[in-house]
Amino acid sequence: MSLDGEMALTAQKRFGLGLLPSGYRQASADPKAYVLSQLEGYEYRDMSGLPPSTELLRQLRVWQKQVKAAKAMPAGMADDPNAPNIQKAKNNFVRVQSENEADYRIQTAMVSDRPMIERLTDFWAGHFCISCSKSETVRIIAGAYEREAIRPFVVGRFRDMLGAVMHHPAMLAYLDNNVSFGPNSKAGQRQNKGLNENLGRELLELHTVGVNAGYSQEDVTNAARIITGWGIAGDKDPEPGTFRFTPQRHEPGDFTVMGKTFAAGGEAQGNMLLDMLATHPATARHIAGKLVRHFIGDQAPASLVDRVAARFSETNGDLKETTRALVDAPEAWTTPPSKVIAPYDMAIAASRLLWHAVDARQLVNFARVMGQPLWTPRSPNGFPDNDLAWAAPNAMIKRFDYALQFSAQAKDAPEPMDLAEATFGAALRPDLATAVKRAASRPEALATIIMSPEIQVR
Amino acid sequence: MSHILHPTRRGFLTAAGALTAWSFAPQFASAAPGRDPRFLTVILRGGMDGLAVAEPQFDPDFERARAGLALGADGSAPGLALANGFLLNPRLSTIHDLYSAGQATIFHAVASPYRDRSHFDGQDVLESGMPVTGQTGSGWLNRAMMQLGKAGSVRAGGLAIGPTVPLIMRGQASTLTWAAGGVRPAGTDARDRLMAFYEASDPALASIFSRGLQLEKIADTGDQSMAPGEDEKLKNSSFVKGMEMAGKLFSDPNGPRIGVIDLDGWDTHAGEEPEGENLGKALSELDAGMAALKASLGSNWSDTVVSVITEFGRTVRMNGTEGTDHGTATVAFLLGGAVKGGRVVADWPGLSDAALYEGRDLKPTTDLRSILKGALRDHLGIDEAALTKAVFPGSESAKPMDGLLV
Repeated sequence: MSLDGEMALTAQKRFGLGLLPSGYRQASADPKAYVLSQLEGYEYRDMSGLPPSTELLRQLRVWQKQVKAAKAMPAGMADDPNAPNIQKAKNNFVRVQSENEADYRIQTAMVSDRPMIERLTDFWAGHFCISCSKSETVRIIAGAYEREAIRPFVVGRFRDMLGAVMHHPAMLAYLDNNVSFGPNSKAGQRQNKGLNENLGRELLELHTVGVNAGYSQEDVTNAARIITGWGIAGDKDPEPGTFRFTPQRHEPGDFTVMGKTFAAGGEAQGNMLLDMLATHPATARHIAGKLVRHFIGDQAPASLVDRVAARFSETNGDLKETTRALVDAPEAWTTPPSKVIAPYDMAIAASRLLWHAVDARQLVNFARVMGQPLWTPRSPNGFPDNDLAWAAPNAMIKRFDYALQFSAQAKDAPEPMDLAEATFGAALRPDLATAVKRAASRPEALATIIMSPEIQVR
Repeated sequence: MSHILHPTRRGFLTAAGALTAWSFAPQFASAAPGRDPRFLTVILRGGMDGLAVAEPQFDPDFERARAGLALGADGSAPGLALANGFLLNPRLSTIHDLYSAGQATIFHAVASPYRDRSHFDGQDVLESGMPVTGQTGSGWLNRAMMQLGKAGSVRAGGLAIGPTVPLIMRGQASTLTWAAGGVRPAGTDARDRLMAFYEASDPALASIFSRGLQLEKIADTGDQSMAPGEDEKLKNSSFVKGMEMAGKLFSDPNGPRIGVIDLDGWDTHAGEEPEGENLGKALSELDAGMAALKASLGSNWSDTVVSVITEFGRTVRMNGTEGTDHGTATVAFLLGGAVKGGRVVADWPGLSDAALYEGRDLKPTTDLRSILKGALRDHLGIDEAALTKAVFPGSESAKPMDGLLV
């Protein structure tokens, strides 16, 4: 019983969005099957009701043009008195759209009966991260990027996700590929413009083979050359805001990356580079290492990384099979909890545990104050993911403050002791039971459960 | 009794072992008797408009470019006099007092090596200390701390005021974070009860939480540094509170000595008039923060240097929304009791159309790295070779500026 009890908690925490009062009962019969079944028969359907990125970019352009027109009054003429209002209205449009996207993400997590899918979404969105701080363009489509380039592939193929990411305007804008020109391309020559290596570098360093794969600066430059011309369709294009390969910007020639030569061939040259990178053994190891660190922790044995990497390679980057290998591994269930959950995850876990819908703005604000602004990491490396990244002393104090405030809002939450007994089942430890009983108020008792090691550390 | 076999404690404790090295106890011994220098960097995010902060009133082209935004225009408060015909924005009255006391130097027409106009990339270069973008592995302030460790001359271990460690402070040297803000604080007794629970159940969380409580105690000590009657909003600003806390931690015998804090709100594309709440609010916050820092440092102010830096300046000409767009050169400050201040340091490039960088921006004539290298060398004792090799790689052309400190 004891081991199954622990496993029922592990199934919900390590491979889910945290404990649910009903989760212990659901997971304890067969904890592993409880997780694995979530991966089966899943197909993402976008039920957000939110516009696709092309539409969002179109609307943003309309706003930006209006602001520009209001600003650009001819010299000598009075400023358009309405200019600041137009600017405000545009900012408002961007803000409301961002809130709607956050709301969709949070509500999806709140009600999900496939929490492992939500965790995978978060993992892959972090792996292929973008940042709203880059520009308005990225900010307006940050949520759409996740809906379009990440979610459909979390139990699909790595190569497909990589392709979708590399063709998405959010990534092309975030890492500047939309302003990268082949220096010897027609447009590069005419406009005297050159290479921007940003996406080429991160494609190797972060997205695929990883920084220790032994590639050279020349490999980075060649990768960047190969993907010149991959950009976003402009206003004059029949489909503005979509991916557009512009041959006039594409660097002509054959280029070698990590020992393999890619013959000149327009956009196909880049797709062949992605094929090579997606199947490179270093990519399998890099992805496996990140998955294991994210789900199991810093101390996970290297043998586990090897096994997951092998499965990734055997299945040609089938992410369902790769994830199964991770969940199937005995180490996944025996490695002790060591990872303090991220603030965003904590807020979601609290919301699910108390079954009280958190206001999206409140959650986003909490995560921001805690240093995890949604879709806005400070660098392309994404948010830190080591075990204690979010365990700063000052941050743990703030977690408790938040847990108290949130518990006080959750008017319909169950009685604290009932909640603890249902949630932890046979794994309820006496010290937690004592602390819950000692709490001076109902919200404090609930906050104590939220702050317990069983919730905070996975 | 399933809990006896619960693996949490053992595993998590091992992982948390690293935490002891990350406390704010001194990592390296202090070996400079009588000297205990403090160095704080304030990052103004968004691109501060240097021309609106220290106005070149003497420049005949200024009025033409900035009609409506000039200090004293439209009956707004006049600028505060600085040397060489510059005027300081009146929102910076504390900084002006420091200037008058010889404890503030204003550098003009300054820029990092970054020459494009993206906040994101500009802040990368500003913080990484590298000449190009995309080098986000570590920051110059952290690498400077690693030099201190070697020299053994200054107590090390960094402080980042904010929820996470910004790039400038990322790297091998350990860093403590503290941030104001968040929701209403829990009561002391509730916190103590949670602490008792952790002590009984999880030594690792107990150790982290108790350190958090310790920090809260430090934050709660001392008088409010702001005089009564000060703006209520400023009193509650997380920046002002952060500056106050930086001063307290810098004054703690075992506290950190090198820190960073940031302040947003400088991206003044619109509504930048001197009396407006856009730039004015950010300036007032900066000024109040300096007052709070100085007050909480007490006598340690005399051992302190504060560098105030931003990723780039703004266009010389105004845009159509009473604001300015992303530009190049701008203002930087050195402030503190250890600064040889009361000066404006500027190799003035002029504001005529021909003098502007790319026809639109104030042209950079001083490399920000020269200022920082001068301050780090003379205040923290990092030698020039290490500054050029490890702290600001590729900065051979930016020689450390001499004579910045008393």
